[in-house]
Amino acid sequence: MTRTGLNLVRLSAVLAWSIIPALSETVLRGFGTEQGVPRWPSGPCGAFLNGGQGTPIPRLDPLVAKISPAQTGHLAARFGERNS
Amino acid sequence: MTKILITSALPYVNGVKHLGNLAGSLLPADVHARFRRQTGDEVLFICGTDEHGTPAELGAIQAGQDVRDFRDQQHAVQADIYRRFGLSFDHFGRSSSPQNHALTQHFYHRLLAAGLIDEREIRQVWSPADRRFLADRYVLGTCPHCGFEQARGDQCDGCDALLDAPDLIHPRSAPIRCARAS
Repeated sequence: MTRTGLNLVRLSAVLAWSIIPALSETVLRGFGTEQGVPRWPSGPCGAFLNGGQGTPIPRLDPLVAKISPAQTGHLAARFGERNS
Repeated sequence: MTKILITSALPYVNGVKHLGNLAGSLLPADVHARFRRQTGDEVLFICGTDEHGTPAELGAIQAGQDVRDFRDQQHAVQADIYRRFGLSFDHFGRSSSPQNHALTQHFYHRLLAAGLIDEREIRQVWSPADRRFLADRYVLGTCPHCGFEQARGDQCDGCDALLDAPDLIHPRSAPIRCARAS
């Protein structure tokens, strides 16, 4: 179950690469398998979701950093307060 | 393996583009180029700055620079921005490059040889104040369709009609700063 879940994460990163490449590559580096352009998957998906036994997966930092109150102040000063 | 050539509308060399240019033109082309590479197609993704026309000339005058220096600097600024946004151009060139001149002239001569180029007389707007012919968007006047007094020579923002500058009533030169937005 965990393996299927992790493989789904990896598959999602491959599918999303064209739209959010930097974030996708962070995830793929975590799996340690991808270099350069990740190939679009083809064929039955069973192998995608059941492979990778025994591969060590590091714990990734949050992919999208939380905006801190200090940054909120900086952004508001730069771009203006939000209109209600 | 399919060969795919992808480009997007060439951003004008003047100034940093607004976000809509990135979101509406460059980004969709980039996503498409990346997806095609993922599926194994042979992709060539080409873009570059459009460096010809009145805005570059007037932009250089406003910046107090030689036109060539102005274009060199503005091209470098835009190329750096797109690199930092992660756009995956195989080549980000310039319409002022010798390669583009040669290619454009090649197409022109082929069309001319085929009898597809037609010589016509058209009306141009001459500004005595600026001592130059003005492109449509540098002329303001009253719209002949709706009477809007701030119509531009290419389009009326009052009624959205497409216009020719000579059709404007009471035409006058647009302040250059207003006409630079692109």
